[in-house]
Amino acid sequence: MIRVENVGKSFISPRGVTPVIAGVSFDLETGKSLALMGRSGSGKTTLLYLVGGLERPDTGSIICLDRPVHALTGRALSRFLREHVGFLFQFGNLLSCLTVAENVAFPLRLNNVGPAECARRVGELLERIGLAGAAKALPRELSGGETQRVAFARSIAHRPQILLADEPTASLDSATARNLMDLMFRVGREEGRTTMTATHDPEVTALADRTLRLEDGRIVG
Amino acid sequence: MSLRLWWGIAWRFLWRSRRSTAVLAAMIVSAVATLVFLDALAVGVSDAMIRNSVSLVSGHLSIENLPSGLSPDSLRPPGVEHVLRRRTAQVWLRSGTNLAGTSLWSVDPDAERNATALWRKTTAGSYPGKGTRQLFLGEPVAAELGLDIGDTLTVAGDPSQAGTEYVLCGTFRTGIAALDKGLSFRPDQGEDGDSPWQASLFLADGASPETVRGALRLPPEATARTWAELMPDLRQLIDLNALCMLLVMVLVFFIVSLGIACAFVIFILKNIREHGIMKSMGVSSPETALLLLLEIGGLTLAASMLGVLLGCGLTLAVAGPGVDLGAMTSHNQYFAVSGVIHPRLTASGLALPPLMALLFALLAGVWPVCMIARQRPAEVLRSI
Repeated sequence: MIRVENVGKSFISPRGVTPVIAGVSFDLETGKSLALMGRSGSGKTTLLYLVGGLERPDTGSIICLDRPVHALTGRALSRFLREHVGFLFQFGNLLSCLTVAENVAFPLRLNNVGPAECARRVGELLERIGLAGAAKALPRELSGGETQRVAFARSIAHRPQILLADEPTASLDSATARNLMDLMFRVGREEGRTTMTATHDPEVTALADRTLRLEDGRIVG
Repeated sequence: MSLRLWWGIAWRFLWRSRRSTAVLAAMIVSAVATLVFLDALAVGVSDAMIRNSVSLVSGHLSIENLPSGLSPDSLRPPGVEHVLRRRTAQVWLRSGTNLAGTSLWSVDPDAERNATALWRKTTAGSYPGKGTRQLFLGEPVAAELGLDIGDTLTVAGDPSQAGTEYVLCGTFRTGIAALDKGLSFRPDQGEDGDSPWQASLFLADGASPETVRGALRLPPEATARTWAELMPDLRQLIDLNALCMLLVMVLVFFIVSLGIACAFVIFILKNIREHGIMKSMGVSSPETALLLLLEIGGLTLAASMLGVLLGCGLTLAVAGPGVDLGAMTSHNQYFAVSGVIHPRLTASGLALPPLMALLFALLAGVWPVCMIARQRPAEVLRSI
């Protein structure tokens, strides 16, 4: 269960204080998926970062898996992220110095999964995303679609209970985007994962259990 | 979280950013190699000054007031190569109406030729032969007395005494006024009877005069002094040389470290995106700091070791033939015998440059490490 209550967040810049999220509240049940819709700058990414603990809210509270994410810092935050959360970014954000297999294995290694189990899980995931032959490739050798598939495999490698995806299809053509979203929601349902996806793509909303519309940092629908 | 994992990641960061790694490594390798060689050269200069100074006459250790019955063989603890037995007397040299005071050393000519270099500074004639009544004088003294090679002169303890006649067999010039004007030599023929004698000990390379002195069992009336005590000016010059070298090392590394610091900052900030991504996956700040320090430390250590090897190779290549600085040392009393410098590696010269490289590299990495480690994941990701 994710519970967001009256969360606000502003950024301070030379131009002054800019409110990005204002009084946002919602609940998302365990295993359900949520699509966050809205224009660029509406606060979708910031809300995802707040829920994942990458950002601290100025006001309000965020409870994920019974943990006060808004108050987590240091070791507790690192532990929460490495054990329970998977992030899928807009451009994949693979670690450029690691191979495809090493990228997918990274969250497992962070969670002290042994080499044998690690290799088994990586093999299984690469098979599932259709990139078993690219295990030793470096990220720069992959296409955009392949990069996003590897990033997806990495984000779920450690079987997180929460997956936060920030416009994962924005840089992909529609067919590739559709395949990735199908895979993401299907695997999410199979594994009982709570998924939040920020997107511009109306097709994604059709795959999600719920949709929230953000405008100027507020929920409008 | 194992160190092995982070070391593996650090290694991949370095290996797969080969160009940046190579540039950084080249800076460190060249700085360390240069300093290893410079230090060896400075040590070689000090060695040359000591060798030149002690090899002329004095030896590394001078022992005075030894009883006549004491055998030179009893002064040979490990490290001693030559023991020269000498007797000294203050005398007057007379040639016609000309008179000059000198310290006359009665020596074994063969042993002196074997251990000292003074005979190589002969300017006319030759060194005295064993069992002869010959004198070997400094060139200025011979000139003061108006003597040529083969002329006869008188040696007396007092100007009013008749004295003993000697033949001038040769003259020398070292460029050191105290030697050229103050010392004269004759073969020891027992003229001084049972008077105490003095020993000059010449040590093997690397032997410490202090250690040898500690190993000697001397009669209570004897006093032993090392070259450093006999020539405090040389000791100070060598200490000054070492201090200058240390300052050069610190200054070179301070300047080089500015370059290394800039390169490391660029190197780390170039990968800031990766650190943001890792933080979003739960990598903690201490782990981020550890990873960066492993990168910096690993690269610096590897490059430093390479630099040490390169410096050693350069030093060993030059050490054999030596560097002839004769043109720059010909009028210097501390290079009276030879101006050839043989660079020599020392433990401190091999250890200090890599340690300084590591210290300055780690200092250079402090700011970017703190900056990345302290930022929240979103801040790093937003800065991409």
